[in-house]
Amino acid sequence: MSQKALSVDNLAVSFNIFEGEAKVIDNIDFDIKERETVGLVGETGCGKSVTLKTILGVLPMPPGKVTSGRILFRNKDLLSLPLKEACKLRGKEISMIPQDPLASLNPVFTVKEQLLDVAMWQGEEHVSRLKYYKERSNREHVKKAIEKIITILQKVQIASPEKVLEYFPHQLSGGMAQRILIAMALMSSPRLVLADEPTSYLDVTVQKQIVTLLKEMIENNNLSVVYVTHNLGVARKIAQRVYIMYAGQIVEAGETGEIFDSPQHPYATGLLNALPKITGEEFRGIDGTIPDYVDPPKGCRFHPRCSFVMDVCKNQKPSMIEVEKNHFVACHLFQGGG
Amino acid sequence: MSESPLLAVRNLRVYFPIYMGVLKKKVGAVRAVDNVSFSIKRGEVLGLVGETASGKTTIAKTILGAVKPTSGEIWYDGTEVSKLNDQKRKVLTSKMQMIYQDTSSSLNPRKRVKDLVKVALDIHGIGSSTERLSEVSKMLEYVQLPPKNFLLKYPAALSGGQRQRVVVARALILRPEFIVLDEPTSALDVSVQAKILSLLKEVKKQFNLTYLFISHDLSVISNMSDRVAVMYLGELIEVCSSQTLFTEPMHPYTQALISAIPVTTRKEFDMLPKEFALKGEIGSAINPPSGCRFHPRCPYAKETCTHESPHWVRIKRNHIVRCHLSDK
Repeated sequence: MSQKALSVDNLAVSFNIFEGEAKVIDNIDFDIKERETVGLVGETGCGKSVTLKTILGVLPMPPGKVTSGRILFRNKDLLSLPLKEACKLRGKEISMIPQDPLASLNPVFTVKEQLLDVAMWQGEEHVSRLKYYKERSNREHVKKAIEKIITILQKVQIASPEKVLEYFPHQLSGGMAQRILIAMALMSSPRLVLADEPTSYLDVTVQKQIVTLLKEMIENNNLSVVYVTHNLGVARKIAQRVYIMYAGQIVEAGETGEIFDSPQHPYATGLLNALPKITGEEFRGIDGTIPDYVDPPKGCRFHPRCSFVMDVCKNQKPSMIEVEKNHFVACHLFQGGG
Repeated sequence: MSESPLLAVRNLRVYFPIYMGVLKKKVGAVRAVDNVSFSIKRGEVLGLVGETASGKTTIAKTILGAVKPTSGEIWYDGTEVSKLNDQKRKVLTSKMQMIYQDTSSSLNPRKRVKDLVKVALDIHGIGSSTERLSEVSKMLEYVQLPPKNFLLKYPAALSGGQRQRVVVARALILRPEFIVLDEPTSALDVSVQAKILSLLKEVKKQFNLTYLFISHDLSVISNMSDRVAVMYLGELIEVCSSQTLFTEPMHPYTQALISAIPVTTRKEFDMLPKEFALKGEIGSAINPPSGCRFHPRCPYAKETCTHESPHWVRIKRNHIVRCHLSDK
């Protein structure tokens, strides 16, 4: 349990844009233990997806650029690995569940074609056309791959997989498309799954079904998961530990229950207070907007919006302080023992 | 309901025909809204909640005249509005406005904030051009966008929250009585959403407005509205006050919706009804299930549910439900 499935060490990512260098990810550290689900929570534009894409190595570079840091996956640094080896890891051991289910499936191919490609060529860096046709005309191999696909579709609770295989993506409902993407991600029995808001496009009742399914899949397959979401309620349901991100910095980390019941960082408190509650309690927003990344605020990036701001916040970046066991906060308010 | 309502919708049906083949033969219809009736009192907020494809937006568009109803009546302040001619309609539109969901597509990217907000005044020919401009500035001030900084900006230069404020200013510029809000905050982050919701509450008080508030988010709806109407596949299934919605939901679908809310605090967990998972997804509006439209997903479905459409049952004052389970 204590072994780390992934650890991100001092990662900084920036983008070269017209206005200059946008320093999006500002030296973040986090880790995921084996068989643990970790929530990465934050609002739009705080760098959640950039972090995931950097881990998977699909961030377009340029304009993206990793300026410092390491990403350790089973003692290998994903950032310095040669392409061929990285491809193998990416395809087989790390996989991703994307956000928008219908935009992530190719509209002109049937579900079967798309799943077959994954089942037959996963982890290959390049497949020549000759090899492709040779393999596809080998009935034995295709049949085997389809059997594999059908078992996995049954696992994600698709009612009649043989029929669904012949569908084009537009014939699927949002929930079904998301189930197929989950199947696609789990095809090679990966170790680490990166989930990029897999339920944000779905209705609440379907969202609940998918979250339940994911939880089941995580348990049955011994997966380690990074679950990125802006929906705090979903994070509470699925994650054991939560990292709260703001403007490319991690501001608070800890056990899920602990963070939701007693948030410490002013941003985390503000975020939780901003949610409309069904109890009818008052909710308040946070003033201001997320900062400009080309010229981000010095020190703590939250200080222009913070109501407890002190002089030190404007110059010095706060370090992570352990306020309680396994509950870390990056805020000057807690400097000196909290 | 003794006093006369500001808006009353009676047996509204909106069907969209489906044509096929070279001869464009009609082969069926999408029954987007099927036999919906409700009314809104002056000064009230009615929340309309339902999943994607349940017909919420179609109702909004029909009320405002963007879609023609197939049958049924819409009464606004004593006049039947669905059959008015264009000229009379124009007079009426100054009293009814809409606030849209997607802020980036509801504002023309090639127009400045000034022109976006002003356009309604131009159409209705209100005031001279300087008067119009000062009215625009006043309105922008009101939605907390300092006119000095924002009058000449293009929508692309604004954040999501600021754009939604422009949309609110545009809806308020004619001093309407009634506003339809179609998921006004679903494209926004929570910290911004809270700000916009409190702005909407404030302008409602200030301008004496009546809202039809459409959303799929029950926690937003319950905080904004006096009464809530729950929709499923083109039909209303439950109408009650927003307090009773969480304490005594009657329809299984309402219960399922509430139990699926991803809540965050301990107190909220205690309020949720017991877990129950729904099977499947919302059906097709082209060929809706017979009887109660919810029966294929309902865990309590009986034999009657499959062929007999349920009637409205009155549970108590201000609480009606359409379900065979409550019908005794």
